[in-house]
Amino acid sequence: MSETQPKVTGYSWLGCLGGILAGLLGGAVLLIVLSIVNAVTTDLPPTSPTPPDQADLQITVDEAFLNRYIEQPVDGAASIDILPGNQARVVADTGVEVFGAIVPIQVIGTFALQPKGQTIEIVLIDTQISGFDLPLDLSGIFSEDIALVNQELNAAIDEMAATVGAPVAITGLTTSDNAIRLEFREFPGGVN
Amino acid sequence: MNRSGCLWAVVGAVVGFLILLLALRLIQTTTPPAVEPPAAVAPDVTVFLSEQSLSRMASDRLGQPTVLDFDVNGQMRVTTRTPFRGLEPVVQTVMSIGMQGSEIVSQLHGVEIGFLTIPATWLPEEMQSATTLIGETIKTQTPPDFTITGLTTTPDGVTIQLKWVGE
Repeated sequence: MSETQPKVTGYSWLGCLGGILAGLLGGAVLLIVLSIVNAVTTDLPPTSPTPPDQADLQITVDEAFLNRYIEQPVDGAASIDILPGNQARVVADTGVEVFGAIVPIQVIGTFALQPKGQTIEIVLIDTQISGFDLPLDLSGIFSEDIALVNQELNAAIDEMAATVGAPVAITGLTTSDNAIRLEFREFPGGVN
Repeated sequence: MNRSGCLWAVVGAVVGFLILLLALRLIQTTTPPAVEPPAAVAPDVTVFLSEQSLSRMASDRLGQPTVLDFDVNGQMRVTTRTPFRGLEPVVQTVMSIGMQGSEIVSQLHGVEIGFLTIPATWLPEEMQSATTLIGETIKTQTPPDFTITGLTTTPDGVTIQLKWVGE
């Protein structure tokens, strides 16, 4: 009896330790095999399309940045004031020569920002002048600048589409008191 | 081995398997370290890129379907098929991306293959450094006149804040 008891305990310990080792090793091998089988047979999670009310790309531009970014005229100063309702006001302090003397004036142009397919179009909607009483034809005063800005906007959006790697179309344009927000959606197959 | 030894071997095997499962569970529940939030600087330009766009861009770049899944606090998962000894298992790379000072940092937390999670520390150095490519790619795509001041992630995508440094 006294000889058999330690023998049984020894077998038990041996069996238990061997079992633990076998459990760890066998379990590890089993889990690795099952994991690889699972990983090979699993499909990639589906890529859901962007919800209709959500943009693929949003760009918000701050008014203070625009004022630092714009090129200042040589003979004056200009500033941009973004207005709610997709409008912006450009205030330019400059001078006009009247009878040989330079009279300081302030030209205020109000513009509408309109999304147009793959780009934005800036349209002059009103021009005012202060500090000068004579009636002036101001309709063409910003024409050259507007054409340049529209051209630069087109180039910037083309560049962005190239970076994103897919054609994009503007789906939203909103302005607040101090920022412009643009929303785009991708059309990998091309914009119709 | 006698009957008692066999019985204890079975008990031991069950205990061993349970220890293995517990160890795997502990590995999976390890919380990834949080990325340090960037200093608050008013951005000049804020760009948001949707998860869908980024997945498509990643698929185009890697030449195979790739799904990016973002979460808050810079957490992200990249799921793609990776060739391995003639097989193409679906591999999920768990990582985080964020700003540390003025630099974008991406940190690998682990790789998931089926039920297995392999912690980043067990992976080869090259694989850990490969994740830094994400930060470098974002940096190279940024126009030279802008510097990145903030990067946040949401389940919808990534928002990058830029400051103009041009003249």
